[in-house]
Amino acid sequence: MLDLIIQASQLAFHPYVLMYVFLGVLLGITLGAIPGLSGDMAIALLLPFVFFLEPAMAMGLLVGIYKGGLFGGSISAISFGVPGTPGAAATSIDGYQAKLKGKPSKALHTALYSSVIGDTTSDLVLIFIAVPLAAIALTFGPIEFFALYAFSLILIAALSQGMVAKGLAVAAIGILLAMIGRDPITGAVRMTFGIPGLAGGLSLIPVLIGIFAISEVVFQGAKLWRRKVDKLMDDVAEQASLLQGYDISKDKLTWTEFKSTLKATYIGAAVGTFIGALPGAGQSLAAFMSYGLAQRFSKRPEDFGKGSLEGIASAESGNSATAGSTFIPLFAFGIPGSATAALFGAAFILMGMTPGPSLLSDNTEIIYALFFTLIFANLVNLVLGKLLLPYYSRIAMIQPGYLIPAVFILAIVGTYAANNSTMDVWVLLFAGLLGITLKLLSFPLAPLVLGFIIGPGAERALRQSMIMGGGDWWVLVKSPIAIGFYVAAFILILLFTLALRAKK
Amino acid sequence: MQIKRAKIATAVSTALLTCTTALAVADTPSLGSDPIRIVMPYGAGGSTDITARIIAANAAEHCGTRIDVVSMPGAGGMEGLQFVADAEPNGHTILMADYSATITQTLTEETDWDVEDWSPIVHLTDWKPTVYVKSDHEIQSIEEWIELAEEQPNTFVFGHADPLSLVHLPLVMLEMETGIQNVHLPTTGGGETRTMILGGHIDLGMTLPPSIVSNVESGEVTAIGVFADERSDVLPDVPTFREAGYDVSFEAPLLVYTYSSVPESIQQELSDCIMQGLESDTAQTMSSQASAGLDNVQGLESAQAIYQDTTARVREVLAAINED
Repeated sequence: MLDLIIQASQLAFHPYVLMYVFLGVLLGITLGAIPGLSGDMAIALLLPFVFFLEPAMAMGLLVGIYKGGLFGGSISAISFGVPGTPGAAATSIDGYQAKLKGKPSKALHTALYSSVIGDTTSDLVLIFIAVPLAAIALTFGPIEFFALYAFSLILIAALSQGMVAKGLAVAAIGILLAMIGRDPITGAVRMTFGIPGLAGGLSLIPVLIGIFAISEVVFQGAKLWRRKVDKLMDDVAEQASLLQGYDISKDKLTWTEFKSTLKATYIGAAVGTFIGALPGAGQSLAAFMSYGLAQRFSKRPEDFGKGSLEGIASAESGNSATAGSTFIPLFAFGIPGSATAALFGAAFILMGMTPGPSLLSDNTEIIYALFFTLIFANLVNLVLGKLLLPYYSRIAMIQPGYLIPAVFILAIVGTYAANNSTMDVWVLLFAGLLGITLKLLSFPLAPLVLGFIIGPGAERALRQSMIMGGGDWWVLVKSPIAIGFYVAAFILILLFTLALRAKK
Repeated sequence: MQIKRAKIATAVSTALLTCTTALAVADTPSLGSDPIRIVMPYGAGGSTDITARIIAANAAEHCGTRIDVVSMPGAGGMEGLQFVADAEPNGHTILMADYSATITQTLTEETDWDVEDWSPIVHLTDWKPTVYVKSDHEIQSIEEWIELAEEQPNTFVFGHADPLSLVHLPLVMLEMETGIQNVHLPTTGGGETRTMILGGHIDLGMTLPPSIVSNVESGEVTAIGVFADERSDVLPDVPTFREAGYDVSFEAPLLVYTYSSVPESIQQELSDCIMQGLESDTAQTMSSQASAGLDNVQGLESAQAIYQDTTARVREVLAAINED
């Protein structure tokens, strides 16, 4: 064990790996701070290049981007009231108010500290829970896996921003897209409309990049150009007027103020870690739930929504605390619980590691190195965030005119490079178009990708169960673990529906 | 209109191509100095990838030009085959693959080529499909398996990766030979089969030896038999099915191919220079480090012979499956 820790730390603290973590965090905060761009998108774009890096370095880079992005989203949320990432939506409620009251620095620092505390808590839970969970995972056969997949799919669809019907519909589209290609049981080619290039199914990378990057870029391009730029410019003018009479020395976060936010931070850390571990629940749900709980337990609930630092702390710690725990289902069962986890799963596969029960036992060293990197990236996030906070508010002002073509080119080149396939480029453009269409109709996109990734596993597990059970459907409820999942899914959906009702 | 134009363009280019080929054939064509591309219809990073890179690193100086490895896993590998089939037939775009893509898929799917359109030039190694069980399972040998399966047909669940894959066809052949029946369970591959065996969800599984060596050594699983003429180097204690009295051997050769329109003189030249490269000491050291099994590489004649044998065997098994 000691040997393992020493080897893993040598891997994780190699100078190059550290450099990539720094680079990643810097990139992540920067992209997160720009409205419309997110860490997920950057990870999707970088996926094809992961293959050319050593696994530890690639992990460092991706983890850095992810963590940086989670915090970066709060910068534009606080500075302009425009959440840089969906997870930062709750942060913008109190954050922007605090800034308008002349406390931008206090707000940003509160966000940074609570983000790092929430994230670290979540990482520790991942480290101590993923290993024992992976051991249990061997008791999972096709019947149990199908129950788990069904549980995940139902939750993913149902919890997507409270739009149950739309979430389910989009997840179904994802499953349908994943069924194109070879039938997993008979090997026959299906649903390809006679196009030979589709015989192997749609590749994951172009679908991911198309859905997350292309659609977002085009959408933002169209929208930002017309409206948001104007709004941002107004905000700049507003900010300039605010700055008159602004005294930075009075806007320092004091120790007493920091202590007063700690309770909210801990609530956020606990709620975020729990929600993050559930497949499909996501950052924004975690942020809003911890915001709601923190308000209920606060000594001054009336300040919430008026620039309360506690409000910022709970929301930001809640969304960052999903960072570690979202990997728990991926590490233990190979099921990605969130879009980010799906992207990391794809990166693992590119590096020759299969997510699932044997991930840890087959790649012990690199996974332990990843644990170190997860914790270390939080420190980097803290230091870089603290040093660069004053400058970051300005980054959010970059003209989308420069960004959009760059992202577009990177998407196409990266997709082609991954498999040397022109078919993949077409899939990318098609996925982008699909993403734009669904976005215009205000469908959530994450369930689509998760459906696409989980669908084949679910189909396979179902059909394997049927083969093993000789075609008897009752075989699906013959395992106590499976029954447990079905019951748990039912209870969770009931609870969340009630909670959402109560909020309204 | 556009379609017509495209057709004319294709016709013209085909005509031009034929002309150049004809011209080239006139004075015994040989390999030029342009880089050679080894197309691999699998994802990068796997064991075949390493083998291709060993070829690239060692054969380049003998072939007189740079060798690049290109991974084209698209469309279940068919994109890679299509790319080689469409390439100019000058021997600078070659294929490295086992028989799944060139034989099984060609016979079972609609393709632009036939099995005979692939011309194997180097026989790199043979993979030996191996049957294994959990070490506390009631079946612990070939004999026990056959005996119990005869008593209780269709009870034992057998995990075997993709249908009609390298680790499925031998099972079908054994069932043809012995008359036993098992429940065939497709899995995502060796990893999933192993997890199901270790978790006790299925009874038997088939895989290639390197993926279970460590589990056999730690006593978690028992390898009961190998579908090969001789035992596997990495699992020397495991008997072959022949030894147990069942005449079923179904090794999977890993071959380097050119498309058959490549002139024979170039095929021979490529075969020779790749062989020279792989026989070098550096190549042998690299191979043993990576467990690539390149210690008995055979040239064009052996490659063609084993390809024909394998084709016959696959046809026989597929015919039997279609009868069911």
